[in-house]
Amino acid sequence: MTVKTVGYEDLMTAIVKKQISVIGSERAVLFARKVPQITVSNDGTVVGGNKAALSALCQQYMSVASGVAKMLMKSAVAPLLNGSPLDLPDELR
Amino acid sequence: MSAGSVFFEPHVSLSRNEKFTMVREGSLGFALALALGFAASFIGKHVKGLDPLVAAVVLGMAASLAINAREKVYFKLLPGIILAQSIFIPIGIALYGKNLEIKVMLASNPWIFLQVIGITALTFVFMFWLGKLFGFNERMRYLLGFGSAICGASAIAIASPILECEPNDTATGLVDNTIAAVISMYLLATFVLPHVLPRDYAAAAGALLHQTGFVKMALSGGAKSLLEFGVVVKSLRVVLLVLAIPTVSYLIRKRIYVPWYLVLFVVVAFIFSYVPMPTAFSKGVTTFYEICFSAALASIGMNANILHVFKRLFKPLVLVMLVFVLDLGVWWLTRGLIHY
Repeated sequence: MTVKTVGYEDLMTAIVKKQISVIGSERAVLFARKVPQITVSNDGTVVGGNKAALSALCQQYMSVASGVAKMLMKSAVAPLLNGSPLDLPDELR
Repeated sequence: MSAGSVFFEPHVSLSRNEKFTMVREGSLGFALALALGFAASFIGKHVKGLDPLVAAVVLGMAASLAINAREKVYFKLLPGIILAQSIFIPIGIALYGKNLEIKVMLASNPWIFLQVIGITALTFVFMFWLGKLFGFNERMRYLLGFGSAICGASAIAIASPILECEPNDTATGLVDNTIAAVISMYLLATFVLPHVLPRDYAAAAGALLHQTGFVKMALSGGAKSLLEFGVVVKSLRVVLLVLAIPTVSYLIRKRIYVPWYLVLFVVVAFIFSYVPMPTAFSKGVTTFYEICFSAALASIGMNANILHVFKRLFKPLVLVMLVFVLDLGVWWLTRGLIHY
């Protein structure tokens, strides 16, 4: 069985989907689409991007609800990070 | 199943400063959600048949009209609205375990339990396949499945965060579930009651109606023992939440997800089933979880778009009613096998 390595795209997708479930797709996707270098589909799937884009995405959501947004984003990515060597931006530490 | 495929929600650690920021930013929205929760609980107690959770989501959507009129106000309240969801949903779900009557389940007729399991499983299957034909996404189909198969508004409120449904979908599911319960109660009274024995009718109400409140209303005109029997049958469906949540979660995530509050839900169920509790304490817990759940649903409502929700109520309602009619057919075909 091949194990898929978790990438920044996966983390960003998890964050946007979590935000969709809380604030709705209209707003969650609108904020995510302000981040350069990434493409966000209506269902919250993110394509492209790197650590800087992930950081910018976190800042977008934290600009409206900093503390709670951080908690939500950390809980969204936590299941994906089990043993992952991915370097995280400060917003998710 | 790969390693790590069974998981509990990881603990997210926040620094003291982050927690302080969260409380400072969230106090206003949190207080609003709590106030709406209290109001919904009050309305639910005084309007016959109206589940406080449905009242809460409608109140939340009504409040959102005022909040969304000014973006600045919405963003001022948003942290607290999210905080209210994060805190009240797990508390509400864990304490809802009080309704899980384990002793009753163990003492019930195994054939009735089997029939309930069969109808519940078929409800999910019907909802999944017909919902696909109706063009609903997977999460919405499961959400409507929980509402129809298990315990109406409460099941939708419990399943929504686990399925990570959008606020608009959750609100639509809750409102439609209540409308469907009213129509279904009428259909049962008109087309089933005249043709079956009273105890069979009580079994049908318990096995098919969407919300416990409507089961009680449907059976309120008969003997007390029939009402109790109908509620027992209904409670057998509530028990199935414990199986349905990990199963549906696995189908969506390809991993068995066991949220910590589902574990607490089972613990609470065992405590309330086997430890004698003073009535006042038990009632207090019920009021407390009702307010928690209502506040959470009000906060979901505040993130939903009331116009969007009311515009698209019809299609899911048709689906829910179609599944109800199919379930009624299954119940009718299998009732001859069971001595109620």
